[in-house]
This record gives sequence, C-alpha cells and structure tokens, in this order.
Amino acid sequence: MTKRRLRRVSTVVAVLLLVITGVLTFLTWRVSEHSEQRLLSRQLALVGSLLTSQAAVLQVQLADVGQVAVNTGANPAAFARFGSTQLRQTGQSLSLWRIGDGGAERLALQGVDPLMPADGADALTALRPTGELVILGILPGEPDRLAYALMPAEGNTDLLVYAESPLPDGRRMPETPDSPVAGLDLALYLGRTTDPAQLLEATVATPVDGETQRLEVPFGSTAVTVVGASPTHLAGPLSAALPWIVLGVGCALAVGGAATVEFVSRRRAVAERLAAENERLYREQRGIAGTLQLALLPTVPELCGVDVAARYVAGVDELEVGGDWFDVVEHRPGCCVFVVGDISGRGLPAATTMASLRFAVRAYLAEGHDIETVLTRMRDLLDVDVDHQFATVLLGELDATAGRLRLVSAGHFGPVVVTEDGARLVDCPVTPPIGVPSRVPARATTVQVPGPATLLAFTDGAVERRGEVVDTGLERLRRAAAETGGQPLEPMLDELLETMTADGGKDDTVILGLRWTS
Amino acid sequence: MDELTGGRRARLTVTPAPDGNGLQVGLVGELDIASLPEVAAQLDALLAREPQPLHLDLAGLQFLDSSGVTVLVRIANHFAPVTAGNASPAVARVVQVLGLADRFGLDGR
Repeated sequence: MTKRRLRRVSTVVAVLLLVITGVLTFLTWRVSEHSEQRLLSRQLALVGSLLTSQAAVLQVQLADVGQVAVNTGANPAAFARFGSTQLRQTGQSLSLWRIGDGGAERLALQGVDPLMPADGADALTALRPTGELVILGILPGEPDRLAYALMPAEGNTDLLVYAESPLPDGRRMPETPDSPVAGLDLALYLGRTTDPAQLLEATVATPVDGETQRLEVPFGSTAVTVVGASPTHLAGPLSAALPWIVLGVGCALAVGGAATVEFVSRRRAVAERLAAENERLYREQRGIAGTLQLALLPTVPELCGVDVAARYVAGVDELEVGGDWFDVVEHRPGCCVFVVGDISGRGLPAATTMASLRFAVRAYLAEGHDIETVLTRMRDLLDVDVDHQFATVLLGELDATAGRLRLVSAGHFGPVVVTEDGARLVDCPVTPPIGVPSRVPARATTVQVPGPATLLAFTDGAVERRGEVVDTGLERLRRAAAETGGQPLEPMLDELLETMTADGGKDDTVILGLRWTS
Repeated sequence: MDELTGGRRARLTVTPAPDGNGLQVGLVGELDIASLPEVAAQLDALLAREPQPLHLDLAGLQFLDSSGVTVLVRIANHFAPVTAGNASPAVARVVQVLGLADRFGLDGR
C-alpha cells in the first residue's frame, strides 16, 4: 500500500464522518429551531389572550359607566361618583357626552382633561349606539394616550362614554418578572400593521430583532398586532447548545477516526511488507536448497543402446536439501552401471554424505572394480556410530545387449522391471545399509531381462507412506509401472511421479528409469 | 498419542529387564527424522552405559523411518546381545527391508 493510497483512505473516512456530522448538526439545529418556534407561538398566543381579556375589561368598564348614566338620566353627580371608582390609573380621562344634531356636548368629566382626537368632538358623532368598544386611536401628548369610546346600546341612545388612557413612558412596557411572558421581546401595535406610529408599547426598542413571529388579536373595533421574539432559548441552554455539541463531537470523531484508520493502515502496510519480505526470503532459501540439490545430482547421460531418464522431487519441507541420489556410468556401449541411494536424514550433512558416496562409487568403478567390491568398499566410508547416518544403496550392472542384470543392495529396495509380460519387483538379497557394520559379503544377484524392457530404481519417498506397510506402496508402484509401461520413458516417469507423490509424500523421491531393447 | 508421550511425538524409556539381566528399552510414538532430537538425550545416556544384554520393546512404536532406524542400529552396535519384540508389521517391515531383521531377531514377513 502506497503512502498516497493511505492518505486517500483516511481522507475519505474523515470526509465521510464530517458529512455525517454536518447532517446530524443540521437535523439537530432544525429540531431545536422548530421547538423554539412552537414555544414562541404558544407564548404569543398567551399574550393574545391577555390582550383580549384586557379589551373585554375596558368594554365592561365603559358599558357600566354608560349604563349608570342612562339609568340616572345622565346625572353628573352619579357619573362622578361611579366614574371615579373606574379610574384605576393616574392620567386617565373619563367623560360623558350627549350626541345631538349640532355635535357632541360634554356632560361630565372625571380625571384629567381629555386630549380629544384631531377632529375634536366630531369624531364622537360618527359613533353608533352598538354597545361595542370603539378604539379611536393614539393621541399625541405628554404622555401619548389611547382614546376609546362606547355608546350604550339600550335606553337613551344619545349618551356616549369617552375615555383616554396614558400609554407608558416611551411606550416601554413595564417589566414584570413574574409574568408568564417575561423574557420575551414583545411589541404591540394598534391595527393590523407594524407602523411605528401605532406602537402601543414594547419591551425592547422597536422593531423587534431576531426570529420574530406575528399575531393579530381582535381589540374592540380594531385589532392589535403582536410581534414577538425570544432573545434566549425557550427550551433551555442544553437545547441551544445541542447542535454545537453534535458538531464538536462529530468533528473530533472524524479527526480521531481518520487518525485511527491512518494508524491501522500503516501497521498493516508494515505487516504486508514484512510478509512479502519473508516470502521472498523463503523462496530464495528454497531456491538455494533446490539449486544445491540439482548441482549435486548428475546430468542424465546419453548412453548407446540404453535410454536413461531420472526424476528428483523434494519432499514437503523443500527448505532442506535431501540425501537421495542417482547416478549412471557407462561401462562400455550397451553396458552401464547405475546407482540409486538414500542417506538417512536430511539437510547439509545428508547432502554432503550423498555427494561423497556418489563420487566414491564413480572412483571405484573407474578403477575397474566390480559392483560387489564397490559396495563392500563403500562400507568403510560411513559409520552410523560416528556419523549418525547410514545409506541405503542399490548398485546395478545392466548389460543391455545380453539382457542381463546384476544387482547388489545395501538396505535398498530392488528395482521394478517392466517387460511385455508385465511389471514385477525384482527380489534381491539385502545386506545391511552402508554405515552399519556387516560381515556379510555382498553377493550380486543375476537376473535375465531380455529387452524390450524398462527398469525403475527408486528411493523410499516413492513408496513409503505413514500408516501403511511399505509393501502396499511397492505394490502401488508396480501397478502404476505396469499401466504406464507402454509410454515413452520420459512421459512414463512423469506420470509415475504424479501417481506416487499425489498424496504429498514427506520424503524426497528419486525415480531412475532405464530402457533397452536387446 | 500426546498422553502417551507427554506432548512429544517420540519417547525412549530405559528400565531394568524383568528377569534382572540387562536392560529393557521401550520406544513409543513416531520415530522419524523430525522426532529424532526428542530422544537424542536419552539415547546418548543409554549409549554411555556398559555394554550388556538389551531388549527393545517396540510395542508402542507406531511409525519408523530410516532415520529412526539409526537409533535401533546404534543401540544394536553398542549392546550385545540385542533382541527386539512386539514390533508392528509396518515397523518390522521397515527393519526387514533395510536388511537388518537378523540383527534384531525380527521377522518382517
């Protein structure tokens, strides 16, 4: 894994986590906002119901005064007596008027002098005896006043009750901490607009800032527009902080996640590099073992009158060189000596012993010794008590022209011979292996094998399997040889090897094949 | 197998012969090139003893390869007389194929 790829993976993780964080933050913010708006609209509805009840109070007040006036025949004394009880606020003005054809005539007054609308008492003549509260507007003054009036609906319908109430100084609503709407930014406008001139009162400087909501509430003959906003979070500080908490935690997770991915990926990259390095070393070592083994084994010679082929396969543990070998030496045209041997044990000691024995055989043969003598002399070259190894050797002399085979064995299997009559295991007397002291002299067995015939000499790796008697393996080889005997020598050995090592034999295996026609 | 050999694949035990004459050596498990080091110490100790009659009990030996046979041969070279018994057919045949049956009085057939 390259560094660039590492960066890309951790960047992708970071971006992915950041996107998720963004979405979650947005959702949290939306939920929080939504609940804020809902809470604000409930608060405004509360303000609305307070206003409605206030309008009702005013209407009842004027209607009562009007009723007293009607019942007393507009008696000023009665008006003064009853009207004074209705004045609950300093700066208020309450007056009783008679509406006639010539205009409006004031009959009595309680409280301060009225400012009266701009068109004077004429504004009053426009009223009808409905018994409804009529808001006449805001009158400029010190302080400004709200003017309103009512004509009783019953009795003497030419009477009218007119009132003015001062608006708070600077139109600033007095602070009432215990109010259910305390803490809200509120502005109340007379009418259905937010015209600054029609501002009744407000808790803050107008216009109200922030996320505002509007609500129109009927107020006498007109309406009051309520504009509200909440400077603080109505649902509490946690709700306000939640989106920021989500954003903060998400960003931290994104950074942490990317760092973790980067760390794990780097560790993995190191592990992969080490594994690749180990595998390279393993292959290299295996290559060395194989190369050494092949260097110690002879190239297959081309002989006159005898076809020669050989196969060597390393066992399961290919790291170690083995001690199996073969050799073929031409005596004279049509006559050769062959050797197949196996050193007990593995590794370099076995390989070096194998090499020295192989060259010893060649040397003794070059001196003109017979195979019986060669085997006997070899016994001096190895001692199991010293070397902790012994060697099994099959020495054979093939006179292809005469169809005669001579064999001596030191602890080694006899060969399999395939002729037109079939395949058989040649039985030859076995003396103890090389390295094991023996006083029994080697005596060659002579077998007549007229060609065309094929001889197979092999080592125990071809036939020995754990959990079975070696005879089972020998029989398996004999049968396989009989089945493949009709093929050319090279493909025959390939197929034999495949059959005999199909189950993954643990040991090295050598198969040497000689074929002749006499 | 593991309970027989204490986690190892091969084991060599030395006890006095039941008749009091010489030693009895038991080989247990799978004796091959891989398990050879497991018996090396006991083998060296055994070969350090005085030559005397020795009997090899091969009843517990389940597998033997040519490397394992070197153990038998070294024992046979050091002690005299050496006899062997209770070998399984497979083990006896390995010894016999190597031309060593006479040495241990084993008949692989």
